[in-house]
Amino acid sequence: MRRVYTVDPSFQGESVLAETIASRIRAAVRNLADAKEQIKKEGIKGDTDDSLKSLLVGIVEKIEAQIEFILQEIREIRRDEAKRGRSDRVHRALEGFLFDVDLIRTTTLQIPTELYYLTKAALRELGHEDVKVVLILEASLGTTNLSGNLKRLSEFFEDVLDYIDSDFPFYWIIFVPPSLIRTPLNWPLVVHEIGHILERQKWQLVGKYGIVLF
Amino acid sequence: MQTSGISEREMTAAELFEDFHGRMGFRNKVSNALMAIALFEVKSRSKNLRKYISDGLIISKECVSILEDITQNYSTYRHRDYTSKTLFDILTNRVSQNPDKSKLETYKKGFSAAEEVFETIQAGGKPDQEKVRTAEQIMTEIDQEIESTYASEESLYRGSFIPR
Repeated sequence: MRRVYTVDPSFQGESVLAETIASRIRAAVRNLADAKEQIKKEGIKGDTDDSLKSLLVGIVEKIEAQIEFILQEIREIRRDEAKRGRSDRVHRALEGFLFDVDLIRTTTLQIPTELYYLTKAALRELGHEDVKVVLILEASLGTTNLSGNLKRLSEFFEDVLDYIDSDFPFYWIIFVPPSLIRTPLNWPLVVHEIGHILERQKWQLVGKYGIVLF
Repeated sequence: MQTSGISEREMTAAELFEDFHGRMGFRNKVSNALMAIALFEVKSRSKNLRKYISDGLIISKECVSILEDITQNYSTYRHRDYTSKTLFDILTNRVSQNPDKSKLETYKKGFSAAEEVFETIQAGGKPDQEKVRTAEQIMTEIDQEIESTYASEESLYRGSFIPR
């Protein structure tokens, strides 16, 4: 069970506003650090090569390394309103990232292992074993690039952006609805989503030939 | 990402996920633009300042170009990415194809001033103070407009994607 930190009791020697901001942001980072330890210890279901673990742990480590620079910048801002605005955005980004980490960690648990086998077998047969995919349980079938979405949360952390661009420019989420999980005859629909992924990462046929994919 | 005017309630999980992150990304870049101004004014030595100035310039240029497109073709305008979708939604209040003309002009002036400010800072010059205040104002206003235009969507997102 994760501990939720709200205030940093060790923090002293700054204005009340600066203290509150630093305390709130450091608490959010500690929650992320807890989530990181949980992932390191328990792993993520279906992540057989530990690549998703590396992506998420790597991001949290880079955020931890940069957070004091971000706090220093907030201290340098003259106007209190601007300090509040900036700290709110940083805090929301950290919360958003924690939300995504928890979402991935918990919803992957509900995906049958066999569906992961099917996904990996399909990629292998198509000659694209290098393509990174995570399956998560959600309301409707679809796919998106997790890496691109995580970058949008990470605009304050240049090292995180560089890390994602260099090591994981593509890491796909396939959203799998409960109805599909309950009906194995429909599992090939996941292969349909793999088609979208390969189009976006490898083929780009739509742009080249004006082909429409459904 | 969805077409303008279509409620987030009709989005698929993937579209809702992209929409939430797209909104965060846009607002984070706007926040970096505001940080560029704030840190430049106090002569900060932050290693991130270069990136913030660059973000400010990118977002200003992008918005100027989008607003120009909207001015030329507003009755048939179709967004091309998350930034253009958001600007169009804000200008139309998500209810029609007709943008608020006075707001459109204010935004064009604001983002043009911002573009000039960030270009000057990036080139190592001293920007015009009035334009700096205009740039600051437009970035703050756009952030507040996004917050109010999509007020219900953040909770909708979190309600849809609950870590179980």
